Amino acid sequence: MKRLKSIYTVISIHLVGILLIMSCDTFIPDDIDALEDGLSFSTREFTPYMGRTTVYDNSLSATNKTSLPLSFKILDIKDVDGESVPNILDRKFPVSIWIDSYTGLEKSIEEIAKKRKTEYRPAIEIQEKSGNFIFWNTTSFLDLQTSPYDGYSMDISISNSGGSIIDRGIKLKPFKARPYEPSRYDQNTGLAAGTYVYPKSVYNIQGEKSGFIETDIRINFVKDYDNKTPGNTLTISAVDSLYRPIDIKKFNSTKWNSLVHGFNHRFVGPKVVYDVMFPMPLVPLKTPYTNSDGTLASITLSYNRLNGFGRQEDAFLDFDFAIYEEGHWEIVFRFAGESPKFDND
Amino acid sequence: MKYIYNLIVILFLCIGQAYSQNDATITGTVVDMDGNGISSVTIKAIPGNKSLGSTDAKGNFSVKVPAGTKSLSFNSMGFLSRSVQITANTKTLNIDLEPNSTEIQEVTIAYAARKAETLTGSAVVISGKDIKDVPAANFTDLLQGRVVGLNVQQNNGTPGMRGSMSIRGLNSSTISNSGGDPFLTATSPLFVIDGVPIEDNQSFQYGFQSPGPGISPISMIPSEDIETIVVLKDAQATALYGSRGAYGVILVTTKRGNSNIPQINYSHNSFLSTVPKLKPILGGADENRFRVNQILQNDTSYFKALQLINDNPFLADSLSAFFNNSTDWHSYFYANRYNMEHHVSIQGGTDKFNYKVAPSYFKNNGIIRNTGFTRYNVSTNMRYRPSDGFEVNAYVNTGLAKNSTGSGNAFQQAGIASSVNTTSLLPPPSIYTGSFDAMAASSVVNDNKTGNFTGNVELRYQIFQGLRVSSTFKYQFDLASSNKFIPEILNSGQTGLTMYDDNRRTVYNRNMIQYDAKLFGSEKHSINASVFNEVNTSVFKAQGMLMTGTGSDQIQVGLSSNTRNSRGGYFDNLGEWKSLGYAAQATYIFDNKYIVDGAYRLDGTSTSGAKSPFTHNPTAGLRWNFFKESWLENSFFSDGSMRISWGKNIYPTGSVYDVYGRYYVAGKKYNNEPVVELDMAKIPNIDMTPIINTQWSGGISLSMFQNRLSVNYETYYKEGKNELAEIPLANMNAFDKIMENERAIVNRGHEFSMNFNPQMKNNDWRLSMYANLAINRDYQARLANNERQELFESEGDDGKYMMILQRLGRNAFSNVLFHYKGVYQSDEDVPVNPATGMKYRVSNNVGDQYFFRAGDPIFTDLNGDYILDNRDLVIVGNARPMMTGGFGFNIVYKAFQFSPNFSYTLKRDIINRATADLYRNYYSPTGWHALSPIQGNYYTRQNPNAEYPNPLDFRRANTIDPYRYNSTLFQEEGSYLKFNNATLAYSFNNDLLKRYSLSNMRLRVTLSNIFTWSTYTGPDPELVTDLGYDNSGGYPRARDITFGFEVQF
Repeated sequence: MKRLKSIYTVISIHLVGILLIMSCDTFIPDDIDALEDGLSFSTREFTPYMGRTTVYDNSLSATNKTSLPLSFKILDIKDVDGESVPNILDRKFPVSIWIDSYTGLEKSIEEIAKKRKTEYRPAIEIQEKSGNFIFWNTTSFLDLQTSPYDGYSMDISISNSGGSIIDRGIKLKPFKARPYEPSRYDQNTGLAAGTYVYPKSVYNIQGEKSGFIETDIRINFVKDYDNKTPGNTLTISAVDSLYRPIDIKKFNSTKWNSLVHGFNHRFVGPKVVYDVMFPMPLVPLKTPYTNSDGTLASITLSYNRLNGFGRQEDAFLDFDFAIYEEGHWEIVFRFAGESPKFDND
Repeated sequence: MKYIYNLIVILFLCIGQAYSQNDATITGTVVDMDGNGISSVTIKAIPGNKSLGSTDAKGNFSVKVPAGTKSLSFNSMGFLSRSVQITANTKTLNIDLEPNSTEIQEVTIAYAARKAETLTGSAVVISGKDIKDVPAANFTDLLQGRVVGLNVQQNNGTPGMRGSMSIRGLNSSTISNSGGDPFLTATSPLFVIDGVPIEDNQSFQYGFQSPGPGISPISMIPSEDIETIVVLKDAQATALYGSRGAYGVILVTTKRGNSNIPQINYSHNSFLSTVPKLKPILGGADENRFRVNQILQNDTSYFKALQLINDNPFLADSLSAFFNNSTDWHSYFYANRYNMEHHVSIQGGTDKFNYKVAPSYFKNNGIIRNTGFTRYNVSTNMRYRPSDGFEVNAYVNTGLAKNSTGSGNAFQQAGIASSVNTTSLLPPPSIYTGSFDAMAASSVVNDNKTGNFTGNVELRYQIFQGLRVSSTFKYQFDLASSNKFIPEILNSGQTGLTMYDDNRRTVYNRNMIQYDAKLFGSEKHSINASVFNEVNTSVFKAQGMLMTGTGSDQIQVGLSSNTRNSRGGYFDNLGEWKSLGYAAQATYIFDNKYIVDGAYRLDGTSTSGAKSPFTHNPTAGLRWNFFKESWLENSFFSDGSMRISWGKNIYPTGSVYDVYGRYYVAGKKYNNEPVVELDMAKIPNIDMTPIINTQWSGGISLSMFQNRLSVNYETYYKEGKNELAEIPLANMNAFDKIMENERAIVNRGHEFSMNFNPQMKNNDWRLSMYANLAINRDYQARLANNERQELFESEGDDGKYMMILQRLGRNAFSNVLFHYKGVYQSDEDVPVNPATGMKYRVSNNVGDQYFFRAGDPIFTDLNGDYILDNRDLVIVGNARPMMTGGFGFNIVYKAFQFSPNFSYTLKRDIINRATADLYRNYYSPTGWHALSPIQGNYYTRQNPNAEYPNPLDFRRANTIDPYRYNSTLFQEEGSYLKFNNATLAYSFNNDLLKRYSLSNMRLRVTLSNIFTWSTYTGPDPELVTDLGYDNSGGYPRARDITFGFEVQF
């Protein structure tokens, strides 16, 4: 027994010795994430419009030398004097977020509303793992100074288990709110170069008197601030050069059901009114109601008539637009030259 | 403690019961298995362990047995000890002893024979007997699972090609990227055949992307001709093989004559190579209906579906003879083959003069048409020893191998793979049907020859007792040629002829002075020292010719009509390589108990930079045979030792051009003379050094029950640094890049091995078994430019699918994949970006076809931006096996012998492209791919809760790519247990044979590659690249049934 014991002692001494040698880890680096030198945001200046939800993605310059995913955090937002803007990241505002996907096929306001819900979120957010910036439409509540102000500077921490980098001096230079597009308000000064915009295209709209092709069609966005009725509406109307209403129904081949993604359309006097949801378009996705890349809503007013030869002539005007603010909006088409000729020859 | 002791007592109970008796004399003979007497067998009485005496020169003994003795134990060096139960009536005892094959007593290491018990390094010895029964083109494949720490993966079924092998884990983490077939830089060990290193140049190792035939000189050695194989693993053992020993060394000793009467041995193997199970294929009408249904049920509209079908006569034309077949493409390429092997060896002589001549022939037709390997080999050796002081050994080996790789290369059969993957609806291959890949496989003439001549002469002279000088000179000439002829119908109307040949000449010389002596006039102190120098020169040159348009298929030489597209000349890998080494080594042994070893080596190679032409490589080792200590005698442990070693080894890396730059004849002219220019691609790096491997190694060996059970444990820490990295230079420099010694890896591991020879009660039965397990972890320790991580991206067509991450502190090869979590059961399950209201989508593009929907795969959106892109790739898996090993038995009953062998690999991840391809073939119902019936549980509307995504949604398949290769869905566990082979042999009775003047005869049946147990769903978990990719273009491994016999005249 004694001998056996000594054998085991010998063996265990050896084992301990060998394990000690083998356990020296020091030459093997730790398995931690890689973080390259000079990792930074490649977009150095963010210029969201106040009052619109804007998402910036792919703004990081990470290469293969950095392990993904990274963690991002806005550490501070400073004004031009270098002072932190107080409470900018803590104050939360109600925003509508999507809980189900918008497809453009929804059949009622309620159906769309069901896909959204209201959450309280800071107006400026960075997505923790992707580094995408989200400037919610609630940025207008932050009382930020807008361009031409020199802009705020943000400090963003970028980190993974390999360390962290603070990317300083990323500019935030918001533009003034422009509640609709296209707009002639200058994004820096807020001054309008004119009051109206033009349609995207006009086809074969002939003047009532001359029969010449009419092109001077001026479009105004009007928001009815006095109308406090709950809900959002979009009214589309047309006026002649003297601001006398033209019955919108005269655009007789217009597809009223699918003019905009609105519901319950009704003709109120010479105008057509839709119950809608703003912003319009709701999602930058191509639907039957948008232009080809989904960034703007698209409407087509069209009519047809018989010409002097008894042939049907089609005429239309196309207009792409976006409205970002909720409320009761009206788009007025003014035929500044001649009114269109709707009657048959 | 008591428990263990009891256990041992129980084990000993089988030896037998006892009763008392008086002193008695027992006489008898001890013989070996061949009936020759064994001298100096110690006989002890049990219990008491009292030594009674020993046998005489003829094996006879006569001992007085004290009263109370229950049994006698017989011990002799080189044989397994044996206990025999005795009774009072026992007067005579005739016993035989089994040779102890597991422990070979003397090993030639570092060019000098040493007792195994004095080795401080790590060495494993395999006897040629253990592997000779299985026919194989490469003996290294037979070592699979037998040598602990030697990882052999037979990942290539091409006849004549050997699998990949590495000693103690991963030796290089450099991935070579060649035309979309990335492969791991080969790091096979150095082979030393009969005392001289043999070139096993890297270009031979795979024949992969290299133009040559790809036959390793190692496959020129028939396994029947091998006496022993010694695998040296640690730095101390390989110390003196310095200049290329960093990846381990395998010493091979061939047989030599040792019989007074000339002996003629003949052995023959006939073997049938059978095709393994191939994947099932949908054929004929079934296939056509499946395709049409897939379109009808999955297209965006009924109209679109009809349009697509009617636009494709392949599906719609039911009358065309071209599109309405049911071709079994497998049958055109795969078939069972009969093969054979003959080996004759004529040997004879005495200790003074002996000789051996061994011609052999080996033919292995591949199971793929037009592939095969044939080897002719004559190996001869001779020893002349006129006196004890002088000795001449000469070896001449010549070999010629022919192989054909068909239309593929040595590693892959891409042509066959694409042909087999052709729809059954097309007609069988013929020159009129346009199936050119398939035709190429059978009609391309591919004729490769590799010739090899090695001659070496060794002179030994003993100046006086203890001081010896020796000199070895080797000349080796390797020649390889490869001819490939493509008939004009397969080559756009013009014949294609490719010719390649290369030759390598190697001269090796070693001069050595050796001294051993006993010190201080005492037997206990002995010293052994040697000094030698070593010179190795090799010259390599390869040339090739490419000719297009020879006029007709019958004209396969001469001039071509299309000289503009014909090319020829030397390859740019020509070069001369030299190495020079000086080494000194000393060993001090005290009483065979304490051994101290030290060696120092200076190595210069052509590829070391001028700043440090020589590397200094010290090694040291200690060994303590602690069971020789007096206080441990007479325990049931019969042997025990402990070793520890440290050392450095090198391996040359890079080329002379990396060190000194390169001038070349530019295409430009000055004064109508060609201009020689400096190559600006790489800046010379005169600091370049070889790869330096530093290794710590320790081990414990224990033997129990009179050496019947031996257990071995070893552990190591190995750092390989100075691996080359290509570093791009800033573009303001004149040169583009530099090669620098910037990469390093570390391997740590544990090795366990066990041999067991239980004593059977019935002497007709004998059993021996071995088992081993090696655990290895590799770590990336340094990367180029001191970066923390590198991402390797394949350059090939499917490059976007293949990324390998290397990061410090992590295993060297991690897969970079999309994390697959299942299938979206409904559209509502797809997450929506709360800010934009858009569904999780597959790319930056916005549109219905990009959004995920029911039936699509769920891939983790790692960065949470609701877009699946390369930023969502996760780092998973380890392409290298963590545990490898094997076990086997040898069971003998009278004249029958049965020996099964197993090997296993555990904990490794494989990217199963084979299965992915099976599904991906459904991406395009109008594509001409073969369709395999889907066995997996895949999504349909009726079966939403599925394991696999919907493979049939072909309109969106290319955007969603549900069966992308780089998905964790196809990263599978590659562990396997393989029943390598089993041999059943019968040896004929000697008396019977003598009547027919034969001295020995043995019949056997061997099955190889019998079965693999694995959870892997692809074809074969072993048939994958070293980087863990299962490319469906590989060469399947055949199952062999061998009938063989050996006779000795």
